[in-house]
Amino acid sequence: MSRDSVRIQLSQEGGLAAFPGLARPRSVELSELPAEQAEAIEHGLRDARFRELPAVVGGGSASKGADQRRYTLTVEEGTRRHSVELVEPVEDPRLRELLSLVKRATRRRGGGH
Amino acid sequence: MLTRRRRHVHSIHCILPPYLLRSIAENGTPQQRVKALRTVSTDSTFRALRFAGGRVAASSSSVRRLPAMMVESQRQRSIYDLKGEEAFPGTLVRSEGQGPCGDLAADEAFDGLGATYDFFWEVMGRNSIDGDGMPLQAYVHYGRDYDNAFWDGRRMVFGDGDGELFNRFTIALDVIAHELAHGVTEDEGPLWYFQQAGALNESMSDVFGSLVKQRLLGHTADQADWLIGAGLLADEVEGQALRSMKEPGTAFDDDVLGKDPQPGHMRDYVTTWEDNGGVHINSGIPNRAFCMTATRLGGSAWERAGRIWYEAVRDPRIMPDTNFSDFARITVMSATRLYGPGEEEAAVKEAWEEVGIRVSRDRVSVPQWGSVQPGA
Repeated sequence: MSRDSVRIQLSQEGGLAAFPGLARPRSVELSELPAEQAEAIEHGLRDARFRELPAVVGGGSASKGADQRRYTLTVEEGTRRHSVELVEPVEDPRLRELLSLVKRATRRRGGGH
Repeated sequence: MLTRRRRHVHSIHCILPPYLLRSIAENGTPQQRVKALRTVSTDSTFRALRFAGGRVAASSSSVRRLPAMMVESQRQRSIYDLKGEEAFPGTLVRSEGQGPCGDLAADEAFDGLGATYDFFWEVMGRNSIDGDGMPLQAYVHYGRDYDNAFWDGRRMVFGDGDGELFNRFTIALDVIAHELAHGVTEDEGPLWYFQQAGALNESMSDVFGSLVKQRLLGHTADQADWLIGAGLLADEVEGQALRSMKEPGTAFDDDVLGKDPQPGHMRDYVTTWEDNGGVHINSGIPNRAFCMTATRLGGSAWERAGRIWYEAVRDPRIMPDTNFSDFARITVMSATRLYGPGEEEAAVKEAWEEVGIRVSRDRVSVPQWGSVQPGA
């Protein structure tokens, strides 16, 4: 995929506290990131087969528990757009790695939109 | 169809007049005091159940366990290291009776569970999460850079934080106690984790979380910081904690995290579908009511205010959709049941009134405040 046109968006809700800044979708163009970070995310997207994932992944018994979190990760490439809701616990290590990379990329101070 | 979860009904070994038990609780030796408080707790629940009449009797067909009252402490902690994975069960690194294992998060979790167990046992006469000595399991080093802690219905799970926004989640004793208290609330009541019932569930965890910390530090209501998660936010973050029970909405205001969205009054109630209907947002309202009750009563918050709230969450009138005003009324009745009409009942009523919920002798009323959207 061409790095120039890839935009990644992440939002989250739930968790131990409500953080409006983290719930608000934050996005970043891969082309805005340092090359190494952008390559890691591209690699992560391929590794996790992100485009082939269904709309909701993960989550266990929803009837019990408290403070669990869910994320919505969206990748836009030109007119193509794929959005996946990741509900904790996310068991696939490749997806967790991708999530971790995207979190770091979209939460830069003064970065993200 | 909605059904109530099974409830705990303890046997009554002796029923002394409440004023006598209270006197022992205030003036007796530490051992007498613990036993008296335990008995006051059991006795008032017994009276509440009797008062509730047939409805509870009919719904408690699975009543279990007899004497939970006279047993000795059965603290059983196990801490597991997930080593950055999100897959259970991980490796057992410390269990009851063992000294520190050298892993900071594991040892903090161990100590935090201990302080919380001791609080429920020594102050409330409750033997662990289920009142019957349930072993406590905590899992540390969950995930990579994981910035959360949660209760999954069976166990407490703590992340290390990402170091940029959050430190490790075991750093704050009240957060550990918050998660354990979710287990207690879930075991006691049928509260839905949604909207006002969910915000009450969240508030109970903050109340007990803060009380465990206050008791360990020996702070009175006036001395307490009433913060939840102090020390958890990383240095760069503009904020002092996750929440403030005393001044909801003032805990953080940061470029990345945004501004603390908690209201402290019904007129600022936030209507939202996010966060399970605002469970971590509107919990600011009952949190502040508790803080104000404790401050009005003075002294150690866990002694009277804490006991009143604990009795309320165990009340058989708590339903899956119990809202703030239902709960306010139940806390006032708990105060009266425990201490008779007087200072405590008045303090609870006044505190709820301060957050916009009026509890009269016959009814509860909430003026029609406008609702606000999050972030407004």
